[in-house]
Parts: sequence; structure tokens; C-alpha cells
Amino acid sequence: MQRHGLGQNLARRNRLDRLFKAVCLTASFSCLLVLLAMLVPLVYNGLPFVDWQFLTSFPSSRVENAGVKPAIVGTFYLMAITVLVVFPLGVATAVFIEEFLPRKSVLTKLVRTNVRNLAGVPSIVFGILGMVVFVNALGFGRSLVSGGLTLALMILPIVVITACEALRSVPKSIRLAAYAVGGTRVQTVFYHVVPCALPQILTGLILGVSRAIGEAAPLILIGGLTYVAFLPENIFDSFTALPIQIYSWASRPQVEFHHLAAGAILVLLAILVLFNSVAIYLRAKYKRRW
Amino acid sequence: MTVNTSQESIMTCSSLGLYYGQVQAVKDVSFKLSSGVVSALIGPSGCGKSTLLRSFNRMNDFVEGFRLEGTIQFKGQDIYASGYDPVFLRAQVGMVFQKPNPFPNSIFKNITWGPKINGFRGDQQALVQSSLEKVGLWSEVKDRLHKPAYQLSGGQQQRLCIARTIAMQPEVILMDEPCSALDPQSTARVEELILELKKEYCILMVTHNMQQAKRVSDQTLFMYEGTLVEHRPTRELFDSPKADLTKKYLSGVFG
Repeated sequence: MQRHGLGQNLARRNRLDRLFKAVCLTASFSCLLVLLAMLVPLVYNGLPFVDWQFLTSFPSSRVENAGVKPAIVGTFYLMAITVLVVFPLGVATAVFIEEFLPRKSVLTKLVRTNVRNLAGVPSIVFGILGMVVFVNALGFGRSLVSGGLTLALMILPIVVITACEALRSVPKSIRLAAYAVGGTRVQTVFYHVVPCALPQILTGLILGVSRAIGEAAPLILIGGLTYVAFLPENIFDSFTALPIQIYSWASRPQVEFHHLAAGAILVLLAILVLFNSVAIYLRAKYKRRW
Repeated sequence: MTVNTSQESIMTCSSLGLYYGQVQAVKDVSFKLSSGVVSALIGPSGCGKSTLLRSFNRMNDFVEGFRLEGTIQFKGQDIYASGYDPVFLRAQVGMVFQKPNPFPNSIFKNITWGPKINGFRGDQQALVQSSLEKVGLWSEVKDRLHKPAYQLSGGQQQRLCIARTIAMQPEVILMDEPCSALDPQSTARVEELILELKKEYCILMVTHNMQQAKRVSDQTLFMYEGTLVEHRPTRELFDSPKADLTKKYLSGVFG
């Protein structure tokens, strides 16, 4: 019998394999490189400024006295408001889409498409919305609530989309088990499906909030202040936040203020890492297996 | 064993036709189930056994395009009547699934959740113990009731699922190939359990395993392409099948 003589081109194929691996490796390292290129100058310029005085002082026109205290407080307030608003709203929306709307109806398609499109809307547009609705129409003024609500609306689509995926990934067998012992739809969803999906929902929340706390544009639009010499006393007070403070310092002509901005960025990154670690801890704690 | 015809039947279905969209999965099926009897549903894959089983506790409600003709009655009431609450039905007609599907909670919660949401106000500890004792799991797990159920072996998980079902004290237990995902030893264990349970419950089980039908059931229903071909006491059906199709299926000509 005439054989095909297969396997002759093996050397060439192996060479291609190695080449492909090298290309992928380079690609992934280039990401790291970009990160380093960002971090190194930040740390070099900013770190000398980050000390206790920097963290506990109000902004000042004198570089050596300037600090980020009101910005840190403002950022924490905003984060809290955003999480408190977006979590119940996002989960409820996702539960409605996934568990209550019929799969193939026109309404379902409409809601889904709508949410997906909202996720692509630029943040500044949400800023305009916040200004029109929260600041003016509802009369919340240029306050923390207006900022928090605006950021919550901005990240709502991300939270909804990831929560939808999380709910969909819960095995059907668990729902059936709950129905089979006489669970109603709501009981099945809230005792079993949502708790199972919670770790993944939290991941979406982390992604969303991480994006929110780095946003300057919508906050500037709704009137976050750049120079604040007091701490907000309640959520209807005016405020500043780290991204606004960074923007303000970075846009000054003096190079010292650019270094201050670098310091503030480091603080922002630290808060981000802190927040993520808490969320990752919670995620691990609620993780269930089936 | 012969059917005790004087005994009141708990579930009856008459002229039952089940559809998924345009496809008819079950055609004109009628039979009765009584307490204290294990009935086995056998037949080749795709003959409509599982569809039929799932219509008895309205699990098919979750399948889009499902439609039903004819009636199913539970204790004299039409379970597909417009005012009938499927949740109320499922609290009395339990189901054990093909693959063990414990809740991702503790062993304890697996058993207490159903009774609790349905208004059980008694002693939970006692309920857990008696349910686990009935499935022979108590001695194996009594020291780790609050450990996650997924840590149990497959066979133990399936017995936990049965315990969860009987904790509801249902009238009927539906079983969808309860042993097909288990090893031979666990299968034997579950079969023993079914024989034990039939004293108190009406059991309808789907099985692919004809030997299993022979071992545990009193009545056997043979289905083929959506129709009920033969429904007789198990011994009679296996020893002297009447229908030609049953004969061929039992002797392994197809299926």
C-alpha cells in the first residue's frame, strides 16, 4: 500500500509553535512594560511627597503644605454612595432580566440591548445627565449625593451585565432542586441562585467601582470642587475627590504640583488596591461549590 | 405482586398528550398510581419517560413551549387547572433527579430549607435526624451536619437528596433515573432504600436499567415513542410480555 508519508513537516511546525509562543510572551510582557513605564515615574516623583502631612492636610497653594485629606474623604464617601446604590439596583435589574423576563420576548431583547449600549456611553455623558437630573432637577446641588448617584448610574450597566452572566452561570439543577421542594420563584432566586452568583456579582462590582473612583470627567461636570478647605459634614455637602484633585494639580504650570499629582495618584492606587482586596476577600468567603 | 384495585389511587393521568412546541413527546397515556407501590417507567431513550415524569410535579412548566392535553389528577384535583398552585403541588409530590443536586449549603440546611419555607415550625434537629436515618445516612454524617454537602460522595449526595425529599413528607416521590450517576455499591444502597420507602410513599421511577426495574418495582410501564405500550405488574410483564414491542425490547432487539 502507498503511504502518505505524513509527519515529514514536523520540524517546521515545531518552529512555528515556538515562534507563536514567543509572540504571545512578548505581547503579555508589553502590558507589564506599560504598567512599569507608568509606575516608575509616578513613584519616583510622587512618593517623596506621600507622608502623613500629605494625607492629613488640606490643599494649599504652597506645595510643602498641600495635602489630599478632603479628596480622600470625598472619594470614600463617593465610593460608599456608589456601592450602596449600584449593588441593589444592579442585582435587582439582573435578577429581573434573567429570572423573570421570558427569555425570548421583545421586551427582554430591548432591555438587554439597552443595557449593553449604556455600557458604551462615555462617562462625560453621564456627567451631563447627573448635572441635569441630580444637581438641577432634583435639587441635590453640587453635592456628594449627586456625584455618587452619577457614578452609580455610570457603572450600573457593567454591574448589570456581569450580574446577568453570574446568574446565568448558576447550574439549572440547583433551581430545579429548589422548585422540587416547594420553593416559589422568589425564594428560589434569593435563597439559592443569587447567593451562588454572589462571588461573580462582586467581581463585576469591583470592576465597576474601580472604574468609578478613577473618573474625573463626570465629577468635574457636576461641579466637584478643586479647592476645598473643609471636610463634608453630610452627603449634601459640596466635595472634592482624588481624581479631581489630581486633575487640578496636574493642570498647573509649576512642576512641583505635577509631583503632588503623582503623589495623589499613588494614594488613589493604594485605595483601589485596598478596596479590591476587601472585595476579593468577600468573594472568597462567599464562594460556594457544587 | 398484584395491583390492589380497591386501593385509592393518588395520581391518575388520562389521555395525556405532552408537547414541546410542535413535537409531541407523549401520546394518549393513561394510568393510575397508588400509595405503597413502586412503579417503574422503562423504555428506550427519547421515548418520553422523563417528560412524562416531570409533568407530574409540573417541572415542565419551566420548559418553554411545553403544552399538555388531557388531565393529571393528584388526590382528585386537576393539577393543571388554572387555579392550582404548582408550588403547593411540589410540596407534596417530591422529586429526585438523575444527577445528585444538593444545594451548595450544609447537609443540615439541605434538609431543612424546603420544610422551613413551607411553614414547618417543628424541631429542625429532629427532622434532620429522622430524614437522614430513613436514608441510612445519619451514622455517616451526624458529626458533620454543618459541613458543605458537596463534600459527600456521589452516592451519599443522592441519598441526601432523597432525605431532602422525604423531609417534606410528600405523598408521591418521582425519581428520574436516580442511580444512573452512581457506582454499583451506591446503586444497591439506593435500591434498598426505595424498597424501604415504598411502605409510606407512592413512588414512580424512570430507569434505564431493566434489572433494576425488576428488582425494585411492583408495576412496570413500558413506553415506546411516546405511547404507553404495556402497564402490568413487574413480574408478569417481564415473564410474559403481551405486546410484541415489549418482548423485543426486553430481549434486547432494540433499545
